[in-house]
Amino acid sequence: MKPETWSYDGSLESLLVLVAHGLSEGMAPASVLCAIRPEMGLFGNEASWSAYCPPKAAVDVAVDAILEVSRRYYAAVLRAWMSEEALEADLVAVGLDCLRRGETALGDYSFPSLSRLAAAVRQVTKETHLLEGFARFSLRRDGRYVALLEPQFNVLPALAPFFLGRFGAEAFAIVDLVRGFGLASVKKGSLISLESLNGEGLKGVMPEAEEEEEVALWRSYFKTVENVDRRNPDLQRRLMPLRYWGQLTELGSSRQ
Amino acid sequence: MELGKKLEILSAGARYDVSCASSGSDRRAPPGGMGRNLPAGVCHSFAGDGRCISLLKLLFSNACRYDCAYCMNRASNDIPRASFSTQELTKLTLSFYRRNYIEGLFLSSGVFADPDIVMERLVEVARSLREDAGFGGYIHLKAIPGCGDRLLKKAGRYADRLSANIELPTAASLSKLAPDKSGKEILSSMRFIGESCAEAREDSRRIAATPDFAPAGQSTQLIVGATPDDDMALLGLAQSLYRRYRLRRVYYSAYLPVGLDARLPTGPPPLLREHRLYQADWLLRFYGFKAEELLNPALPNLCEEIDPKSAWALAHPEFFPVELSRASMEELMRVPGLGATSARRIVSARRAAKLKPELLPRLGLVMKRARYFLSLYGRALETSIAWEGLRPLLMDRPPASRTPLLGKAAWSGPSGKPMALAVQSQLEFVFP
Ligand code: SF4
Repeated sequence: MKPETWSYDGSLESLLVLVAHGLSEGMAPASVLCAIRPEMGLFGNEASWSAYCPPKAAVDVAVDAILEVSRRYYAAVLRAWMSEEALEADLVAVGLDCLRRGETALGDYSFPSLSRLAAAVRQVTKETHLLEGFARFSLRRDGRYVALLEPQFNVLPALAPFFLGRFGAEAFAIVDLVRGFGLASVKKGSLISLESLNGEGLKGVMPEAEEEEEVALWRSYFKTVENVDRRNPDLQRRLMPLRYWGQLTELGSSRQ
Repeated sequence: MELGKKLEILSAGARYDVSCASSGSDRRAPPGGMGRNLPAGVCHSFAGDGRCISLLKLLFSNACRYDCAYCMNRASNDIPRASFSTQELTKLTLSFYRRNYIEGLFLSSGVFADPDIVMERLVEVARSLREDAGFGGYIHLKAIPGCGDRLLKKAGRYADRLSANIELPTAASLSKLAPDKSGKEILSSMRFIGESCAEAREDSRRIAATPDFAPAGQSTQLIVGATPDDDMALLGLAQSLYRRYRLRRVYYSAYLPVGLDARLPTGPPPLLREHRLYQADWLLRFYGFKAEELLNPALPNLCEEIDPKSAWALAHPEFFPVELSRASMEELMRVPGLGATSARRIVSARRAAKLKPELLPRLGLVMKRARYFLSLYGRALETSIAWEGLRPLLMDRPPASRTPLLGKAAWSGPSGKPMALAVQSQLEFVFP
């Protein structure tokens, strides 16, 4: 049998359909072309199967099929997508293994696909957890709190539930400056993309001016709580990697 | 006094309390409110000394009638004094919380009046945050030494965690350095808090509407190195507090000189000792060790050169090697260099497939120390070093400072379509 190449548009919806396709066919593709990865333009002519802008009904069916494998597997698919790594074929291979052996397959690190997938999932989980702490919000005149982030992975969707819980009924937005998109709360418990919010996209939620009083108080607090007799900048950098410092108000970022 | 100055004075006064956790409680704000606690806790920043900043840690007031020798806020110390108002504290907490600087408030105070009056003020701040502002974030309140149970009961309704600091491990040390405090009273507060937590948990199993009582439990703090008490006294006390009053956490704080007092040591803070105590405490809480396994009258202090688990392993050659293919979680966790996560990964991997030596690095295990203590199908993983030669290999460099031991959306893809909100709830823990 000729090795299969599949292609998709890079969206989560299409990835779900791709994974469900692999599960129903009982086979993983030899390679997958993704429209937003550099190896390919938008059209993968050489692909024997593709998923582009799938209809909602197809996505719903795919979600059900993946959840039927296991909830943990579904969670792994979501995080694999956020990692932006080329893990599509691995995802299908691990899903098929799960269908054969149940969830035990998710502990089989001797299977290279699982081992790669687990490493990516761990990285995304770690980044999400760090940003739950390191995101900094500032208040706009329209009453919305906004955080500008530069995440290494596409983690806004994973961060959203944390901040929804935190802000409750108050309006907020989280913005991914690297990927140029954001999520804004519209009412308690739901988020929409910035484009749908105000038609202005990122421009409509950018912070207006530095909040001098709050920033000064926080910086003063940060400085005072340090025990200078125990200064340990190496430990500080290990626990709070330098790549986040640009967004941290207490370390001098004036972005907020 | 302007707010910035108060913040400076009252945060400096609180920084000697090392408790920093915002974990252990799962709380949502009431409808219309804001704030959410997750059981795992979150670090929002790390200070220059490497300590996690999770809570806005403040004193209500640094005025104090007591004269504890080890404390900068003691009555006899000539320092500027300040106090917050309830309104200032609630406003500051909410403002920092909304900007995601903190998970919540840790509020303590000097004993500026009768302990009940001071405790009442702390409770009022917590009440105002919960009831007036609908705040669902984390609140840790200090139990003022000598305050009555009635106020502790009220405090537990609003706080996620309460703490009564025992500070020193023996009655003799306490009467020498903190003559105004009574060990009995502190232990009695701990007992009351422990019993009230247990009662609330028990009642909530039967009656869903049972009001919370400090759902994240209680903690305490012990000062290390201000008195000649040895590690056995400190760790033994910690173990009995964990058992008797179900404390969630004992914090150890290396004594920092805060002035000249003939009763106190003048040397640098015993940071390495503090670090070793945290490691040993971790073994008590999560690894099934007992204090008497780690220390005894012939060996009353933890070894400085080697971590407590490695020291225990070297003293127990009969326990090793631990067989990877069939050892229990408990046995695996006694291996130097293997933690709970590594043990879980080993158990889960061998359920799925036969363990092979080449698979071990893929499990993400750090084998630097562990390999001397493990075997696979009867063959030791490392045979080049005799048992007697292991000690130098297990020594770690003293840390330069405190090491905290550790902690439904729609979006558009390129297709431009919003993704179903329901997927967000699936984003839980995936791989150990
Ligand atoms: S009671 Fe003792 S430890 Fe507490 S603030 Fe007063 S002097 Fe300091």
